[in-house]
Amino acid sequence: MISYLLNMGFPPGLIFIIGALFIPLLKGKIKSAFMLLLPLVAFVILVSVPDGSHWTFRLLNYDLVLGQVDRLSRVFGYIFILISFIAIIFALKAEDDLQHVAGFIYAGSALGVTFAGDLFSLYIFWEIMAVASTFLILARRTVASQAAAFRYILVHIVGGLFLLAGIILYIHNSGSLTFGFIGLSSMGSWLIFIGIAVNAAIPPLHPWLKDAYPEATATGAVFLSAFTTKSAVYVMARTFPGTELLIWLGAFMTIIPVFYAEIENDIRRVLGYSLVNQVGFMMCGVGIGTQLAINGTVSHAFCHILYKALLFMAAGSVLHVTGKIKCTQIGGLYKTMPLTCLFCLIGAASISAFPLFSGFVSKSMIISAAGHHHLVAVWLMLQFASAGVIAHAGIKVPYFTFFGHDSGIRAKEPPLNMLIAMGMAAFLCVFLGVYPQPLYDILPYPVEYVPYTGAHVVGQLQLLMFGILAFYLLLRSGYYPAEIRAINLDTDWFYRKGARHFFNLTDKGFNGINRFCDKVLARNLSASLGRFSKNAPARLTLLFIIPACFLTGKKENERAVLKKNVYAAFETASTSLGISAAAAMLFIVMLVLIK
Amino acid sequence: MEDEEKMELSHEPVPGYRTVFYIAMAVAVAYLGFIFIRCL
Repeated sequence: MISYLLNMGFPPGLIFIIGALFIPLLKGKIKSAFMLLLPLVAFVILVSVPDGSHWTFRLLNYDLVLGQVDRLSRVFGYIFILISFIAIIFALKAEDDLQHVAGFIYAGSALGVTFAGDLFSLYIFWEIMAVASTFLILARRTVASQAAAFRYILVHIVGGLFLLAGIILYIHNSGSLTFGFIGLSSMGSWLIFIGIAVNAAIPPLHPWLKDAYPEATATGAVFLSAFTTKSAVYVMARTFPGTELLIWLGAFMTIIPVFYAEIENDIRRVLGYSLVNQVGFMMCGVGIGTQLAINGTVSHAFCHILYKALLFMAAGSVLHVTGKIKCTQIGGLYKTMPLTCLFCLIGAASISAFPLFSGFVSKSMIISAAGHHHLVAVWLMLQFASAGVIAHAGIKVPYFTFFGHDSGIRAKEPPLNMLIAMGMAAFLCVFLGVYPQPLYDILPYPVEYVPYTGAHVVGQLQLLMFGILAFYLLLRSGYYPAEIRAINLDTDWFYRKGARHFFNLTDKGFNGINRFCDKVLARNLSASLGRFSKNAPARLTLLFIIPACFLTGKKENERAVLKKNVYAAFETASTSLGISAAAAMLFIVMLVLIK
Repeated sequence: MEDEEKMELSHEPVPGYRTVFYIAMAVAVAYLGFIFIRCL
């Protein structure tokens, strides 16, 4: 069967996308088995296919490649398929075909982006990804999710247009459709860069993420956390490695979300900010561009997908069983949800880069790459951001969800499928942390990096312990910011508030001009001209006749009769030939004078 | 058990911890300063 699918030209992405269309037709256990089978088939195909270009076809004189398989695309392919499998297990009991279909198409298009060998295919899958992910937000079916989905798709349409314009310009200038290194060199490349930066949530283009992901369904957020930003990391690693601008954008990207996450009340919004922070590390690695940095970026993307999905699954489980996910609503859940709490703690330890957890073996590669490159300021920024991660994702998320104040909620553990999915992700987080070699073996470049040295472990433990101490002392001394039930606006102020002000300004400004023109020009002026043009010939004629009457000594009553006759003659178009000729002459003279 | 769905989850100070916080901050700043000076 696998060889048949290979020969028939079915890349892993299309397995997902075409398979998704059959899901609504199936029911019960057959549907569950079918959904679990799709990622397994995709995985076997990916393992079977050798490096090189596959699934190529010709369209409009261009060679389109749906299977550019090399070490970089392969590792992203593995993790995308793996997390799809875990997310599907998590979503297995959700009786909502919209979520299942959207999830599969979304994951399939992310795989399509990963294995695209040309810019045209890349763009097509990029846009399918944006549309499919929007449905994962809409699937929650609340007013807030509809609004968030609308903002989300608007941002991604704009990003997609930047990408499309850039691709067209790039192909026009270079004549190449190949999806490979581009570099910041021309207008086209800058537009492509901005288009990718929107999906990568690089500040100030990041607020769509923390706006939309927390409004998605419990299972939708797990899918969302894995694909959009990480596919952008992959595309950035392929097209703009070694771009210095990315080092600084990435470094700031790690720091900015830390502050917002600390004051955020919605746990999934905290995780959204944390996601931006983590992608910042990856962008920094892409910007540094050395073999160690790219390996660090790829391995961190791999580990991050697992532990961020785990954290979103833990938060999603709480949302699923309690219907609540804000710090002001929940707390003390460890008593009745000990397994979910344990899985959340493993995710928190991984994202905080505790030794023996996955984040430690990947994040430290990027920070070490910054050190090897003598980027002292960047190194310090990344260390500061690491401490920030501990404070918000490492401690805040589990503390305010499962410990902290007792909300009185006594919810049970989520269904077994959700626990199994979280258990699988948690196991992988610990396994990769303890034994990272299998991950290092599939990275794009040979790995000589050793994470477990005395300096690394002691340095990281110092950072972690001081981070925990800072959180504890801030909380106990009353300096820790209160969680408030409010919407904290970030740079999304510009389109959520600023756009409204802009709309009001343009409404009053341009529509005011419109109303003025309507009143003065369309109504008053045209009416005046109408009245004038109705009597104008008679009045103009009288201008010449009345002085002549005075000169010939006609009396007032004779002049009045004459006036009446002239008006009547023009109204009935029965003027004498001489008057008509005089009026025509006058009209011609006026035209000449006007000219 | 506390009230559900608070409008604000504030964190009241525990007596004595502010002093501990300031002492820890001073020690941390001194420690960092020492490290930076050694690096120069």
